[in-house]
Amino acid sequence: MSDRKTRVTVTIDPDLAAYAERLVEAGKAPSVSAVVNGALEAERQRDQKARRLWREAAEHADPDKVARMLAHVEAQAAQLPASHRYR
Amino acid sequence: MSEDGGAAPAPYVLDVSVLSAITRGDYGIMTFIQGLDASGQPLVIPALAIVAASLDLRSDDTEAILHGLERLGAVMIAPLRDAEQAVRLAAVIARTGLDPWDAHVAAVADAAVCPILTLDPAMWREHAADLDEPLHVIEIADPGEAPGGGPGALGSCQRPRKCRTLPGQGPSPRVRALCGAVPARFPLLPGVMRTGRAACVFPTSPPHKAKRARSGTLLLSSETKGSRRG
Repeated sequence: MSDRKTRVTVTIDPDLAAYAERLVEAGKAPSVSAVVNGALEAERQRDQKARRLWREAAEHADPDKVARMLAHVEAQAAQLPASHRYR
Repeated sequence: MSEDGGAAPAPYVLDVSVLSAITRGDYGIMTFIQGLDASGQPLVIPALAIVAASLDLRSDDTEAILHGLERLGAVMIAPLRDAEQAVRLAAVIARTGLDPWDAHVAAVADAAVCPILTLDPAMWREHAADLDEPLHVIEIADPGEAPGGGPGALGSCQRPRKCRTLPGQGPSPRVRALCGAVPARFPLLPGVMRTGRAACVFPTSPPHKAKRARSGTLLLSSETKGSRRG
């Protein structure tokens, strides 16, 4: 994968744009692009952590137990009035 | 294809007991929810139920788990959209004596004609008849597990926020008056709908709801997850 930066055009809220500009002016970030890049990286890490936690749950759960729970719920749902079962 | 001619399944409304199990990191419940998601079963989460589940267990992991829950394709969040919905929620609270988060669950289930998915069916049985139409509840349980099957067992749910309504403490006259002034059934539906891969279209005006809906009082917007990605 290339390390070259990709140029994209995005539209952001004015207050966020101003915030990014202030970070640059204050020397907290080298550029607005760096601020946006950092924000996206933080979002990616957040997503990755969420996925990891949910994946770990699936890896540690008892699949037979989960299957029984799903079947139990399905059996109860089948007893509901049609108005509560379908759209 | 369903026996109802291909109609989409009605969403399940997740209550605080389920969300609390998820935020505690209960592997079984988390995997169960993923199973429902994978099967295309729409799931609705009232925003106030998330508040309750987050109150007693706030951490980076909890935040990440809830973030992951919201990212599941079949999950829709039902926010409290505006002042009108807030007032109507107050009416449900007054009428049922439920905590706001539980009342939000009840209100969404009632308005959308959806069953409530819970680990605590006993709590809901107490309130099943509080509204004009009965609430329907689906219990998450492992039928192969003995009742009360030990710590962490399904059914031994730990609700973090018990109802704070004290015995004999009814709604104030002012609240009762408010309750009486507001129709008991109302469309407290998600303001922003996100349909997942299951084509889970949240009901706006299904035929059986027509006589219950207050015409001209609700604007619903629908937005797919895909369309939210700018």
